[in-house]
This record gives sequence, structure tokens and C-alpha cells, in this order.
Amino acid sequence: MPDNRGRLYDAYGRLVARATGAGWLPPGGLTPREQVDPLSEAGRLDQHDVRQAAHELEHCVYAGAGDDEEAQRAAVLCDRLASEVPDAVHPKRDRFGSLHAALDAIGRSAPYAIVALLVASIGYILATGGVGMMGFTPGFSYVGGPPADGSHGSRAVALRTHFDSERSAIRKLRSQWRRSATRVTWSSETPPATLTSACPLRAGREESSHRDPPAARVDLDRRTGIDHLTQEVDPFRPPLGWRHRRLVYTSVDSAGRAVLAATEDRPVVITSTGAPARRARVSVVLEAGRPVHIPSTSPDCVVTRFRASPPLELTLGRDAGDALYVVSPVSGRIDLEYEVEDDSQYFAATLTDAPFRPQPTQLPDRLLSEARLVLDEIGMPDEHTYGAVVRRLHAYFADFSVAPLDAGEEYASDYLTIALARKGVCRHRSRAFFITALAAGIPTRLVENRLHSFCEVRLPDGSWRQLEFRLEPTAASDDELADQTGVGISSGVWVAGWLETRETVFWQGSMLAFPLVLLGTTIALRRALVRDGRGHLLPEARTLTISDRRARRNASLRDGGQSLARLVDETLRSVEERVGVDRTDASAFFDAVRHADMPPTVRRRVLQLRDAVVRGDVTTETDPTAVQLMQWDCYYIARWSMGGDSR
Amino acid sequence: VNDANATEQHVDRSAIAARAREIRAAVARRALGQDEHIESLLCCVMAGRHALVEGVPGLGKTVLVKALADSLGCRFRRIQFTPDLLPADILGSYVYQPGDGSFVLRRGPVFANVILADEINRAPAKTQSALLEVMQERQVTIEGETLHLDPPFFVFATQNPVEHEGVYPLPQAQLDRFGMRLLIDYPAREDEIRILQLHHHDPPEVPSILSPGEIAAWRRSMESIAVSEVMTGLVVRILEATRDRSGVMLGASTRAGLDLIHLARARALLHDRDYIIPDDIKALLVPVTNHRIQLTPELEISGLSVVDLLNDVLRDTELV
Repeated sequence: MPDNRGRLYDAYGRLVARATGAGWLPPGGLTPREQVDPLSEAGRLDQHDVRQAAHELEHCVYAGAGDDEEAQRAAVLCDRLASEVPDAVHPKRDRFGSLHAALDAIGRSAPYAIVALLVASIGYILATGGVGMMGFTPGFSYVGGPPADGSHGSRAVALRTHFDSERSAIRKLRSQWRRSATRVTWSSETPPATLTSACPLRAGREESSHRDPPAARVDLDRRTGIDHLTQEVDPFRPPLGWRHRRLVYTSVDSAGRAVLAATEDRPVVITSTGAPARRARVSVVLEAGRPVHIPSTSPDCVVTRFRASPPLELTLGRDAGDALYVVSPVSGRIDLEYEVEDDSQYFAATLTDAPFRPQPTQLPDRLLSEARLVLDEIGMPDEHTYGAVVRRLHAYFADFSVAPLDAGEEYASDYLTIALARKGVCRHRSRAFFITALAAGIPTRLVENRLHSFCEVRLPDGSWRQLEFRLEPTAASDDELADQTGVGISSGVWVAGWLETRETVFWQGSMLAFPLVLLGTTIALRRALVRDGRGHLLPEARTLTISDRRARRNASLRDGGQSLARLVDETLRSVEERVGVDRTDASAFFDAVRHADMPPTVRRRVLQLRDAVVRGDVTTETDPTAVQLMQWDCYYIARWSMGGDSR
Repeated sequence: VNDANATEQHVDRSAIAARAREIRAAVARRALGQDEHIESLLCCVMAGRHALVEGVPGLGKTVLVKALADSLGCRFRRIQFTPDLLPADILGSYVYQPGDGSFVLRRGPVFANVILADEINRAPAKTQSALLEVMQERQVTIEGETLHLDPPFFVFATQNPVEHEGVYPLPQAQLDRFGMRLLIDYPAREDEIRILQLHHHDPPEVPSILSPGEIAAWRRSMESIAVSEVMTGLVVRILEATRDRSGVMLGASTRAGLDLIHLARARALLHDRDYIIPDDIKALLVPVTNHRIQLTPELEISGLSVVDLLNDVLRDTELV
């Protein structure tokens, strides 16, 4: 077929496609001669032109007569006619037409956008050095230090800032180390005599750290809401969770702060006992000459290996509270890797039934008198053994509720308020227990790490036993507890050495993952669109197989048969109006239809359709062919009832 | 020269169309309300295809075929098929002549131009296949002697779809030999009124209009009818649609497609065209293919007929 005849054929196909979309033609079944009337009825298109187009199609394409110019003129005519057909108003296509168009537009532009996004992500990651963090960071690492602007609002920004500054610090340290080529030696310098609490009790307000005790009085924090900080990664393998020790306090000063009262510090000897070992890997920010505490497992743990990278000359010490610390001659960020062994019964020793003998402890007088009030409130157990007393105290403080203070629960001091209102999370419970137990003559220490706070008590045999104040007495599993301890953790200040960067890793990893997911989704979407989103009569659709078309049409029926039921109902109602009889009166309706002035084919369709309704067959659950039959019944009945002819 | 030929053909074609209109009018006066079927049967005559007419008793099947045969001016025989009909009864046999003691061939009713095989499904398979062989080969073999039939030769068979007792339904392979199967339905109300008004008198006679020679000339002029590739594409699309439908056990064969195009050319000639158009295919699809398609039993039980299915196919296919 010469080109212009093919062009004419396609142009006519487009005309039919548009007319079908506009609801002027049914989707198939009419020959070009039969299409003339519906195309030109009611002033749609000029009848002469339509007739001319059909005639030319017959003459040039079917008969193969006429010359090329004639075919071209006819194709132009068809194009003009097609342009006069309004855009689709057919309900089937109109309902999702704009959605399809929008999805299609997205689908067309999405691949470019995604490639651009990918390039941008890779560029960003390369520029910020995130690649090293993404795939190759073994497990976890930490960055630390407060945000430069003191805000905690944008965590990602803060993390990035610190990450950058610390990378430069590490670079500096490494170059220093290369120049000096110093060998690592372990020394035992004496750390400062007193360490104060790392727990500034009002989150985000105190600018202090444990190195700089605040001058102002420290208020007990009564907030129990969720803090903005996330959970801390366990520094030990096998994991120890939130139960590791970092800062240990032995006493309380007159301002109510927990302090390390004793002064004796001991150098740490690298040795081994053959007990099970735990491995830690942390990053800390050092400040020249100042001790920085690092996690330990128990008071009597033994350090078996210790490595710093870069290998600086560090002093590893153990303070009076049996907490480990390092002292460095220079400042900067450093990675530490060490291993500790302990076989103590620190976590699980039984509280003995030895007689309870109060030990001399030190408390400020005011706190002592307040604590006696609390002890009176608790009451001593009948059985006056060590185990019973500690258990009684522990039971009292472990059974707090997590709720805001009610009116009338304020007492003279924060300690009294917490201990008597019995509300608060781990840090409130442990601190109140700490003071009360000291007042009762039980040697007790307050232990804090970045997430959690708990106490340890000295048993009569001189060993220490951890006491955990769970958030909820019923909380069973460690995971649950970990979740709960994430609520209201003790500090809002960025303490050196303890901020995990896993979030950063995830964030940067997702930069790459997001475009990939988007790409996959878009490809899937486009595939679906090609099958479902097109009208029946577009020229491309001619090459589709029949089963494809059926699948598309069936897809349009998957609204649970509601549209079908509505269609059938409306059709039958139009018949009711024509014959003037309600179809609920079966025999009257039947007679009326029998005697109505309608073609026999329409009559048969009406009766069939009514039977289908009565039988309950108007459903898309049945065979697709039956559904199509019903649709076509409705179509032809509607043609008749609207005054058109019907075949 | 080409122009002269074209003009001559054109004139020829117009004359044929005019004669065809004449025949249709004459037959339609006798067989009221069956215009569609008359046209289909005329197509069969032109294309040299046999036809099977199906319908319940009393709808004028025989009247239709008889009227057409009369108008064609051909020798017409009617064979009433019964369960005890033997092949020799329709083909003929050698009969002993007591006078000279020789055997003389007595030709059976099949030696005619138009044969009405009434209630073909009442005869046993042996007799049916004898007739079907004649239909295929257009020759008869009796006692080893082969006799050619005079052209034209058509068989219009009728069968009654209602009765099931004592019938031998035609197998699918034999049904395929018929170019078309016409399904005679009850007449429309107006037609029925006219039939009742007219036919209580003597029905009008149908004059013989054509001659066998003319029919052969028609067939020759059918050769000039063009079939564009668009039309073959349309036919293939329709055939594929009948095969792809769910519930179809046996779709339309390629022979159905060949017959469809062949008969469409005949229809084009009847309508004074030298090319076929989708309207031809649309008009002929149901009669040409309805007996060549088998539905699955489930679909048949659900009440869907082959005709419904074919109408669906037509409606779902763009006939452009």
C-alpha cells in the first residue's frame, strides 16, 4: 500500500478512536459506512465530510483505486475531522483520564530525574566523604562534642558538622603521630581528685559537663517525657546493653550533686584472668591532660588489651569508683579498642541473708534528715538481714510510675518530692535510692552512662552488686527495657565520646537507596500503564491481542461490580420509563415489554437482563464473557431507549 | 485497452447486480422476511458453496430454498432424509432390465443442479457421508463408474435443531464442508402478519430468471473482485478473536477465513462493487463461521450460543 493510503487508514483510525473516546461510537462493531450516521447525527460532524471520508477510505484503501494525491487529501480531511471531535467524555475513560495522563507524564520524566538524583547523591557522598562511612565502617563508631551553635534541633546537620570537624582533627593527629613516631607506653598519672556528676539534670539547659561543675544549684529534673536523644549503641561485644558503667559517684555534696568523694586512683595493669572477655570499640574526644571516662563492665573488670588509633601515649586509670578513664597529652578525637574480662557476680550475686549492719556513710545533714523521713515511710522489714533491707528499699524505688507530678506532690526538696511522690524514670529512682541507701548505712554507688542510670551496692563480703531500677516492674525482656530506658535519659548535653553515627550512615545510605527504589517503582508503574492506561482504539492498540483488550476491560470492572450493577439498574429504569410499568411487578413488566414497540432483539435483551437481576447474576464474579454480554445488552437497550436505532 | 476492459467489466458487473436484485425481489415475494438469508444463499450460489439451513419446523426453510432454486432456472431435486435412506437411494444404482437382461443405470436424485437435502441429520452416517463426498468432489461413483455432475451443483441441506431422538448429528469435519449455516429464526411481527395475509391464497410462483450458463459466467467475473490487505488483516483479526475468547473449545478454522473472503467477494459482486468492504465481512461472519466453532460445555450450559459469541466478537472488533 503506498504511503498515503496507509496514512489515510491511520488517520481514519484516529478519527474513530477520538469519536469512541467522546462516546459517539461504541468501541467496535461498526463499519465505516455505519459510522457515518452516529458521527454526523445531532450536529456532531458535517455529514457530507464524514460520508466523504468513509467513501475515500473505501475507494483508496479497500478498492485500492484512486491516486496518491486523493489519498493524501482524504487523510487531511480525516485529520481535520478528528480535530473537531471533542476530547474524551466517555465515562470509562474520563474517570481515570487525568490520572493516567499525570502518571504518564511522571513516568516519562522520572527516569531522567532519577538519574540526576543518583548523580547528585553520589556526588554528595563523595564530597562529604560519606562513602567510607557507608559500606566500610565496622559496626559503629562515635562522634562527640556539643553542636557548635548549641542547638539540638537538626540532628543531621549537627552530626555532619561534627563529623567534618573530627575528621580534620583525626587528620591532624595522624600527621602529628607520623612526625613524632612515638611508641605507645602506659603510664599512671594521677587524675584529679574529684569528679562531679555528668548528669546535668535539666536537659539542654546546663552547659556543663562532668569536668566543669556548675556553680548554680542543680535542680532535680522532673520531666518524664521523651528526650530528643536516641539510644546509644552498645560499646561491648558480646553486648552489655545499657548496663555498662561509665561515671560512678560515691557520695552527695551539700548542693545535692552526686560526687566522687574518695581520692584514691589506681593505674590499670594490662593482664588477663582467662575469664570471658568483652570487646569495646569507642571514639572519644580527648582534651590534653584531662581524664575522659570510658565504658567498663563491672568494678572488678580487668583490662586485657588496649589499643588506640592513632597510637598515642595514653594513660589508662581507674578512679575511686572503679570507673575507667584515659588521660592524653594532646587533644583530639581518637579511636580506642580494648577488651575487658570479668567473672564477678556483679550482675547476679544473691543478696546475702547475713545480719544487716549499717556502715558509716557520709551525707549532708539536710539530706540525712530528709532521708530518714523517707526511711520511716518505707519502713524496715521484720527480718533484719542485709538482703531483706536492700530488697525492701529496692522494691520501693523500683515501683515508681512514669507520670507528671500532680498538684500537692511538691515537697521541700527534689529528693523528697521524687522519693515520696514515687514518680520518675531510671535516673530519679536510682538517685533517690542512692541517697536513701546511704542514709540507711548501705555502701552504695550511683552509676551513670549516657543512656541510663542505676546503682550498685556493696555486699558484706566486699564485692559489688548492680541494682537495676526498671522503668516498669513488669517489663520483662531486655529489648523492652532498652526501649524504655530510651525515654527520659539523663542528659541532654553532648558528652564527649558518645554519639553514634549510625544515623548518619543510614541517612547517607538512603540517599542512594531512595532513587533506586523510585526507579523501580516508576518502571513498574509504567509497565502497568502501557497495559491499562490506553483507550481501546488508539492506533497502537490495533496490534494488541484480543486477550490483552479483554484483560484491560476486565480491569475496568474491578470495583466489585458496583458500576455494572449501576449500569444495569439505570438501563432497566430507562426501560421502565419507556413502557410505563415498574419492574417489581414481574408479570405486568413482562407483558408490557412483550407488547411494547421495540425491536425483538431489544426485547430479548431486556428480558434477559431482568432475569439476570432476578437471579442475582449481575456480578463481576462470573465469567468475563457474561459480564461483557450484560454490558452490551445495556448499550443496545440504551441506544433504543434514547431513540437511536438498534441492531 | 485497460480502460475498455474496465468499462466492459463494469457494465458486466452492473448487469449482474441488476439480475441479482431481480432474483432477490422474486424470491422475497415468495419467502417473506428472509431478505438476509436470500442474499446469503445467493452468495453461496455465486461462490459455489453449499449451505446448511437450520431452524425449527414451519419457518419456511424449504420454501426459501425451493423459491431460490426456481428462480435460478436450474434442475431442482428434493431428497427427504430418513433413517432408512441408503447411499444408493440418492446416488442411483444399476437396475436389471427384464427385457434385454442388461443392467441400466438409474440416476439418483443427486443428478441435478440444486439439491435440497431435507432433514439431513435424520439419515445415518453412511448416507450422509455419501452426499458429503458428492458435495466435495462434484462427481458420483457407482459400481466403479465415475460420473461427473453438471455444473452448477449446490446442496442446500436443512436440519432441525430441536429434536434429538433418532438423529445423527453431523460431525464437525463434515459441517466444515458447508460454506455457511443459516439460522432461520421466527419472523418479525410485521413479516409474520404479511405472511398470514398473503399465503392463505395461492402463493405466488417464482419465475425462472437465470440459466446454468449465466451462473458460470458470474463465477468467472467474481475473479476480478479485489481484496485489499487491510481486509485480509481484518479477517485474520476476527478469526483470532474467535479463537482467543474464553469458553471457545474450537475456534474458526483457516478454511472458514478462506470461505469468508470468497463469499464476501460474491456479496461485493451482488452489491455492484469490485472490492470487498468490512460490511461484507460483518454480514457474512455469522452464517459462515457459526457451525465451525464449538463452545465449551460450561458456556453452552450457561445459555450462550455461538451466534452470541460471534456477535460479541463483531462488537469488540474495530471493523475498519
